[in-house]
Amino acid sequence: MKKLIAICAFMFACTYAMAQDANAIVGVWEPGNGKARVKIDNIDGKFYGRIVWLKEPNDPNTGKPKTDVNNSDASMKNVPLRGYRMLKDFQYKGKGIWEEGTIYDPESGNTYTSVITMKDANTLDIRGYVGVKTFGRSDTWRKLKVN
Amino acid sequence: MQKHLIKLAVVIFIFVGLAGCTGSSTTQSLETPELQLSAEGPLYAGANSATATWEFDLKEVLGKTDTEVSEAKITSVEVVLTAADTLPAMEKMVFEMTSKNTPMTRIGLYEGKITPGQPFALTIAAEQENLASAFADGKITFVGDFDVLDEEYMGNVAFTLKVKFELGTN
Repeated sequence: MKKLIAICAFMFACTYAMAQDANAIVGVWEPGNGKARVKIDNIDGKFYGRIVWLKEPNDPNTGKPKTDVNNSDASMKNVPLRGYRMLKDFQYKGKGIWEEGTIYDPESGNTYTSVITMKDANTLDIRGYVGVKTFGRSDTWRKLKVN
Repeated sequence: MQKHLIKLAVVIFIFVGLAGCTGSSTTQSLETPELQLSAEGPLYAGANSATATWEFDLKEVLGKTDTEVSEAKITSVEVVLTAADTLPAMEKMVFEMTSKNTPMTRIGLYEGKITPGQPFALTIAAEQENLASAFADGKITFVGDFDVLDEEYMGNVAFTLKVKFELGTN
């Protein structure tokens, strides 16, 4: 009986530790180009990132808030970029790695398969690629402290 | 002439074969029960997310056993902001859905002001992924991202939500 309780306690502790690690990515992050800030949330065990701030929120041509003009679906071109969910469906795989997600580049309208690696508590390496991971591009994001 | 007849026979045979393989599929509408789409405060100016989860037994909602959903798309989304003593000014909603095996998919957009008690329907995306896999999962999460116009709001915000699907079943 004691053994069973010990096993249950160990499994609970492992699950709790895994959940804590997974949520280390939750917060507000700034991509390397400093053009945006992205808030990463946990929704039902998967991780998503929304643009919460843009350095240039308005389209210089129209003076209106930027929208997803490069979307291939004409009915969704009016979706505002501020609030846009550009990181989708990441799952925590352990050891500071989130995989099986996608990253959307609003400047090109392209979506890439992506893997996120946590370098340290305040630094993420985000790699986007098509097909083979080797031929992708990486960006370093830093965590912002939110008061 | 005989060659043409043979070619024609082969083409007919292929068509008949393909039609036989597709089985008998039917289309039906399905509406979710009234769900609560809620966002926990504090909420800040800009986009905030509200989520609702719908857990279901496929046999129960379809009223049939041994039925598989082969095609699914959303045809309408209706949302109503629940009235409360104090609420921030709000507008616009981007609506998405996900499940264990379905990537987060953008479904709809509303661009006007959001007023308590007044239903608003979203413009539905013309291009939708096939959402059938979500019905095999038995649990769908809906996400509504709405804009808060006030600087901050410390309370929670709730919406009621009804989603209509068009399903192709085998």
